[in-house]
Amino acid sequence: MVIKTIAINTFKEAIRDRVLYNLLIFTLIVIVASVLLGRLTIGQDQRVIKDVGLAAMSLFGILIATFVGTSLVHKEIRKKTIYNIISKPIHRYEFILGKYCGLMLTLIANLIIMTIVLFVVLAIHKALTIDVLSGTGAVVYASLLKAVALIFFELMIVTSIAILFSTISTPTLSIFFTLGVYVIGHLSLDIRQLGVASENTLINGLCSFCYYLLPNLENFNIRAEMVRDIAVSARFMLYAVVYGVLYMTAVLLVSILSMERKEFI
Amino acid sequence: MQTQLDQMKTPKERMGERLIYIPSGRSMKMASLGFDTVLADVLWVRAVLYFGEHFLTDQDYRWLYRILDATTTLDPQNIMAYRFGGTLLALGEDDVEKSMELLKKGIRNNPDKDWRLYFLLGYNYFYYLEDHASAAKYLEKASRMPGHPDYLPRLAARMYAKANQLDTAIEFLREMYGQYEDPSIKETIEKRIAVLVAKKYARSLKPVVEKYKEIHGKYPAEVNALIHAGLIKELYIYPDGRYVIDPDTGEVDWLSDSETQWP
Repeated sequence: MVIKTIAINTFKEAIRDRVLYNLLIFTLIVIVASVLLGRLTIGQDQRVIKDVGLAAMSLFGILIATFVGTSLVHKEIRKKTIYNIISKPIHRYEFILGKYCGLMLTLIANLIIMTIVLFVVLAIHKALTIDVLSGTGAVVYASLLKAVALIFFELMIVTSIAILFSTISTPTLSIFFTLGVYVIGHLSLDIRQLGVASENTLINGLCSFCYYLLPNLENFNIRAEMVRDIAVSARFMLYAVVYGVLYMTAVLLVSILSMERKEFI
Repeated sequence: MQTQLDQMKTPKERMGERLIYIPSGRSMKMASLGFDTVLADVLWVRAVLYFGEHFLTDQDYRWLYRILDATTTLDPQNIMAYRFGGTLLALGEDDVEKSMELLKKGIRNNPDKDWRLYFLLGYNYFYYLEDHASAAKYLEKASRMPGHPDYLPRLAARMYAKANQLDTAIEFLREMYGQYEDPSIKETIEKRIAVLVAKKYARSLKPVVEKYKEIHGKYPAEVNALIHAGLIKELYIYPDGRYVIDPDTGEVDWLSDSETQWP
């Protein structure tokens, strides 16, 4: 109940902070991609709209998760509202989980609206042009939904990391750290290959350690496959989802531990 | 101020300079942090614009391969980019090799996905390199893929014939014959097979013609002379065509009267 109240409050706060204004920019980007780029891509209009739409969904989600997530705890400290909260019979884990769920609620609302905008633009574009190269109908939309679902799980991890850093550092540094983890998360395979290529046991071991410790965010990037009708097995999807949930749980546990140890004077 | 700066450079310089700094596809893929397909789309649009601009001016496409190579490394499934490069790079004869490289990359990344990639590669082998055997190999592959036009198997067989691989051509057409259900296509293939069988027989007469020359000091003017000379007992007569002997080389061929002339 407490978690729910904090979550709804966090969600309302995000709306008040005009976080959802990014939807306007998203809509604009997708429409511009469909009208302008579509004309220059020699019959690959729908594909470009899907690519741009999904990439924008991911990018805006990451930016919101990072910038809002890293300020969640610190903002309460700065405004001294944290004293009101911790003086009440609220556990610190409830505070963290509430904040996390509130931000995830914002991100879900964001993703749902963006998906609807993308589908509408695709449908209108399809109706107005003769595009023989791209598929149509429920199959296409189902593929896009799979890609959106994994974007959601990627955002889940990034948000948990942002919250973790917000409990241990300042907002500015937290932003750098979160974006750093995001960048490394997309380069983790390269880091592993670097270790193998180095032919040095120590470097290889260090790279392997980083590979398994840091989140492999490429697990959640099936955008190219979905747009290009390349099959992704249900087993892969399931493992990616389980990996996402486990990683997020582990990071939130560390965040809660960090919050439990924090002294508010 | 920007306008002034722009006017100090020629359009070619401006475009050329921009493209020189396009890093390799591999490094861009790494730096794109999962946004590789969007980057590929941007490069693809740039490739189309680059071609359009140079097509209307100097027709110098020296950077086209580099953009398309990077585009297809970032998005290996962009079949249109392979087709675009495969067709247009070959226009500048120096770039035929690059055109073929791009098409081979497309086939490697998308095996059995689009018959046109195999067709374009086969065409390049035939038209630019005059390598009929390789052309035949790729055209055969293209004609085994869904969506290919009906003329393709015949074209592949023609390439095999040009490469003096008549047995392969006949075998291939017989296989194709079984795969089609349309009676008119079946009939056309049947005619082609007949022509090839006749040609095969005609070419088998070459040693006999050489023997005739040894005896008479010149090549025979027509094939019946071989029977009169007692070198062969009979001559297979195929309908709808005639034997011809090249007076200089002694090569024997069979030409169809109604079909398009084959090699």
